[in-house]
Amino acid sequence: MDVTQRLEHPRFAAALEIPQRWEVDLSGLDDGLVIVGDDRPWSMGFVPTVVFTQARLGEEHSTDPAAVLESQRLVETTIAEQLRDHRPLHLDVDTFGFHGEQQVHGVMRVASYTTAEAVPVMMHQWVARCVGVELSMTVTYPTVDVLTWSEGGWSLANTLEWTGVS
Amino acid sequence: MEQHSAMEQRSTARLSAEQVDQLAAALGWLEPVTVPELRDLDGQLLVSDGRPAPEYDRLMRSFSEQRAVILVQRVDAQGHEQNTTIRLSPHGMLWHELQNDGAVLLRGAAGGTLYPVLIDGLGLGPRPAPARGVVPAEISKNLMMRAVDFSQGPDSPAAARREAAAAVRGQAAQIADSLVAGRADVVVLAAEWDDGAGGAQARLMGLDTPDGMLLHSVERRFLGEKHLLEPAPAWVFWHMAVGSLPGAEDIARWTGPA
Repeated sequence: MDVTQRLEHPRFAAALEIPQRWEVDLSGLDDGLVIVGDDRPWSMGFVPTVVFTQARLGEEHSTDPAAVLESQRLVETTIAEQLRDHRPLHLDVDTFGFHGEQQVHGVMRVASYTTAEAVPVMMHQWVARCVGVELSMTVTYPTVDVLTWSEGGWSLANTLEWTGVS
Repeated sequence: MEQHSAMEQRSTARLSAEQVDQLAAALGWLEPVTVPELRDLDGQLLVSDGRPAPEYDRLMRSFSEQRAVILVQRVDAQGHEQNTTIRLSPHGMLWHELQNDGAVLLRGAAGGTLYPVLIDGLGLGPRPAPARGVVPAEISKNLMMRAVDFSQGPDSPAAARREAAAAVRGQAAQIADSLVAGRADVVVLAAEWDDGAGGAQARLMGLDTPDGMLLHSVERRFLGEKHLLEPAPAWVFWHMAVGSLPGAEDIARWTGPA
């Protein structure tokens, strides 16, 4: 098994184990942004990334996965407009990590698109609401590397721990 | 870096089915024959004296120097087929689209266009996710082939779909209902390519309904094989499809120095 490092921070709502060699950028944390990337390019020179966004929730936001799914359906059109060759492949309720012993239920999105550098890529995204935060995790990698990265992203999403923001 | 004519390259040509065969012959891909000149249905000169016209150099080379051919098929419950043939070459990709008037539109593009063309040809898109941990259902060996074989009429494929419905009803009742109601397309991906070791092949089949997909797989046994249908999200079918096609190493070998 690869040597891992633990990605965690008092102001980051989750913690997870990631490969030791991955580079972590917490400089956007004040804006709810954490970027993690491999330290080397994969196919077509593309460096796979795992991007987290988090936003505090008001009481009006339901943590019900159906509500999260509805809100994500509303942004599908925007995503399609912004991404070249966008092809949606999946959008439905799924699990996204654990809070204590309990699985957290949210939404999983999978789509194919082409980057500005003409690299065909896959996007696997999970979104859920828990511990007063809406957290998303987006894994992006070259499509041709699907066998490694789709399972890797799925593994990250299913081992992530919701820790809350102090 | 590959060299093409300095002339601006055209990326489409419209041909009759017969002309597609003539094109293959003209470029020496089938039995070499003399085809002094070949023009497409719009009168554009494609080949002259066995050589591609300069503005069609890349498109013609994509046709004649293929390293992989991928066939994508979608067959509905009435037997209507949607077929896409994709050829990959060191010069990019080329695909055939059958038009309503029976003409074949040849379209060329950079290799990265493969994936959206494949997704469109397979008709993949978001479907309701199946429950996790569902056990695959065993089906008869030839069920998937019967589901797309309309040569003896619609009864045999309809029976195959009902048989598939009965097999998966315990795991996915709504998908079973869709199959019985004729709201299911069979999707097929078949590929052959130069893997540098005598050639490689791949084949993947599934059933696509508005209520979810069923992924077909074959479990090899010491004696014989076991055919399975398993509820799966479209992205899992896509994962299997991309994983079964030529990989980055194949493509690098095709485009690298000889």
